Amino acid sequence: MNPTKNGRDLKTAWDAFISDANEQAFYCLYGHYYDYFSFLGGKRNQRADRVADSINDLFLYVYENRSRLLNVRDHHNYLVTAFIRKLFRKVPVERELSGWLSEEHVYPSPEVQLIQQSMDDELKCALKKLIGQLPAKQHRMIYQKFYLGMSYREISLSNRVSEKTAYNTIYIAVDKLRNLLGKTVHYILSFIALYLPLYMLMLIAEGVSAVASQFENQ
Amino acid sequence: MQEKELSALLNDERFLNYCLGRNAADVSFWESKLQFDPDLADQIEPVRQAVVFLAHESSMREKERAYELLRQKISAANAASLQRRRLYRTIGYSAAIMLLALLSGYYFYLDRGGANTIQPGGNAAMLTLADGRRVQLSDEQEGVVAQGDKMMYSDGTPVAGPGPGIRSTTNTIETPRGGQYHIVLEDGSKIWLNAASKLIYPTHFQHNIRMVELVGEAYFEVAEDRTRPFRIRAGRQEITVLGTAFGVSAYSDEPAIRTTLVSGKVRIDYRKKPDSDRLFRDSVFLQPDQQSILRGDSIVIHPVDAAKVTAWVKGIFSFDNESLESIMQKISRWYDVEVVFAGADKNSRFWGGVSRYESVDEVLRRLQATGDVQFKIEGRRVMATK
Repeated sequence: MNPTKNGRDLKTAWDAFISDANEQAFYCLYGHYYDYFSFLGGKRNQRADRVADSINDLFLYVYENRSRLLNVRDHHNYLVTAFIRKLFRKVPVERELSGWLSEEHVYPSPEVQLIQQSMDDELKCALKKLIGQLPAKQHRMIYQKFYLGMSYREISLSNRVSEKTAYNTIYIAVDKLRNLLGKTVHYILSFIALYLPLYMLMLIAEGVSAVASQFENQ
Repeated sequence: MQEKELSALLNDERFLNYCLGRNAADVSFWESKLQFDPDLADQIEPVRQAVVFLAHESSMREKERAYELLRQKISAANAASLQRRRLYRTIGYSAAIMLLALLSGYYFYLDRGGANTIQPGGNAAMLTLADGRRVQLSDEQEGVVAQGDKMMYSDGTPVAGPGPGIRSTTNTIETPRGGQYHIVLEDGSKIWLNAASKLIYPTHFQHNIRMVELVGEAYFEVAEDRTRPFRIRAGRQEITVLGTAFGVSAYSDEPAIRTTLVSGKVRIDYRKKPDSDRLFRDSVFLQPDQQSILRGDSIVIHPVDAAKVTAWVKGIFSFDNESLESIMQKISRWYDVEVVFAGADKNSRFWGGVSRYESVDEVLRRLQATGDVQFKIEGRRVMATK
């Protein structure tokens, strides 16, 4: 299995942000740690909205105090410690932290990104539209379940819903998507079935006219 | 695929791990399972795709949504900090303006009374009342009027209320160096006291004589009263007048006592020797525009322009063939400076006039313009060189 993305690998992004306030780099850091911190918060049964607030508080601080953070050598440790301090409003005990620091279980394998990339654009559009229609809370549960790999129990605690609600939410979303995928696959196939012969005909017709014009010139 | 099967799949952590590639063992378990069941694989594939897509799409969207909130916070914070910066800038400008004002105020202060420019004297005097109380007279008033036991400023403001009791029968008005004051006595006589001078006068004049004592320089305009002569004791001479205007200069640090008559007629009685116990055996009379100079054991009378000699009353330094020594003494008293002769000829003579309300620089510059003397100012010391 490919090694998962590691926060320490983002040193370049951190440096780029600290030195010239590069927003892309900032977002790169934000995205990575958003996942990681959501995972940590979920694992510690923290409410998802509080986790999200803490993440934003932390990154707001980082954004505004860029120049003060010049001396931060290990950005990963700094961010994790700061986040946990924010979330729990206390200085983390080293022992308590040690079990969390691994990002191994947070991120899906990069391999699966390839699956997504190989998907049809039109299909992606349809799926995105569907996901966009989900209420924020349901959307978050999907994220927690599939991206962060949290258990239904963790999700239910994190969102203050019952485990059954968490499960149903995810079931409904997946079912909808599955149906859509089925339809779209058929749609694409029928598109190909209809237009491929016509396309061939067009090519042949072009070829014939080209040959014909050659004869005329002679 | 049956609904039951789908829900079973979603409950199966191993399947989800396979979808998202989280666990090597789970991935190979499902891969080998599907390899041998192509039908299942066909059914499973859309579910797998949906799960993977949901995973990534939801992650992206979650972050974007959260990041949008962060952006709003940042821009709100930026706006706040911009406001703060504007506030700081306003405060900064105000502070700068205030500092500037303070500095210029300080500069003016230096300019007026500071080390570089020595400013002229002004109205200042100390009044010692008969009951022993001492009153610093206001520098905003030009003079005082004596009316029996009471003293008031020229504008009617009382100087001091009734005292605790009478200790003596005289009041004393005394000017410091750099000070001058005007006093009107109860008989209506007007006296201008020059710098570093003292006038002792009775709270009530006697019925047959009006007697005062002077140390330093003063200009008198004595009210006419033929029944009560006005007598000024100044050092070892006494000036007796009926009604007239004249100037007297009787500084203890000057060897000569000068009396200059402007109008009327005065008699000067004097002792030939300072320590002589013979009282006023000798006397001379002065005519207008005459000045007597009592020096040593002789008194000399010579014609002067009396108006020029007493011009200080009108705020003018007027020098008419006056020695540098005498001029510098006047400057020293009025500007409260120390004069040091370092090579300059004390006896060189000067003519001319300048306002007493100019700074000392200007007065010295005028003298310097003659080319006979050079001045250097160090603090409150004026060095006169050749």
